[in-house]
Amino acid sequence: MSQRANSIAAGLGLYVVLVMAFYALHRLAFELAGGPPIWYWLGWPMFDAAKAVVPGVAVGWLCRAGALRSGAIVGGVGGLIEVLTFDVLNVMPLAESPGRMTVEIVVAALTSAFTNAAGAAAGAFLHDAKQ
Amino acid sequence: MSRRANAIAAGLGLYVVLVMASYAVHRLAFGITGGPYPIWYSVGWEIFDAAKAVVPGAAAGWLCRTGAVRSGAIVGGIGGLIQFSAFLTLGVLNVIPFSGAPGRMILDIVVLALTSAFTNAIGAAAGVFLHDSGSSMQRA
Repeated sequence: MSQRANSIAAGLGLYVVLVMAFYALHRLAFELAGGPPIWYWLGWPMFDAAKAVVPGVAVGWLCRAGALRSGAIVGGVGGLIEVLTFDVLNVMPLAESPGRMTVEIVVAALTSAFTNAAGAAAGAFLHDAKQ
Repeated sequence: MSRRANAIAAGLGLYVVLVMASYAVHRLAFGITGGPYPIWYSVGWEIFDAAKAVVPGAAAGWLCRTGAVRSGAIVGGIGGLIQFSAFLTLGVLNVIPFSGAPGRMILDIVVLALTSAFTNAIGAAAGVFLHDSGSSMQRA
């Protein structure tokens, strides 16, 4: 695989790890604690912030060429995986209203693509600045 | 004011505009429909959230390269504090039972400021990268 494809794969892997870590937090909160405790509400924005930029930063850091587009791809595909995974795992059941699900999927993919593209630009800049 | 201070002020101004725009969406959704929130509300909220996460920082980084990451973090941190205070004052956060848990409010403020500082610092680095890329393309 090319360096760019590798960096996209690494970014996507990181995105999936963050999604699954958030799912673990969700399970821990609802099954062990019996309801969402305060650390769940605090953990949510932290994972959201991480998912918004960290996979993109990783992509931009690993490969400067076409960093913005690679970051957008990682964010877009990652956003799709996130919404579909959370739907399947019942974290955010959307199947009851299919129209809403479609809109949510598109918006999640677009916003995630936007923030991760910015993350990729930042990753490329930080990598250049380090050298 | 120095160029860096101007960039931070511009980033903060942009953050406040985005906060007020998301408040307008909130008012429009709950003031007009009065019932369960419409789909465009959650869509608009997500878009504003994504914008608030990186755009003010990117503006700060675009306007001033020096100490861009720190400037972005300052914009995000202070912007997050402004956002929380504004939403609390304007009743956007009424659904959260802060009165029952005053400690939660402090923790929420700290987490919001930290996460916003983090994403906007990344946004600022992106702003510098895009500015540099644009400059080098113009030179070429």
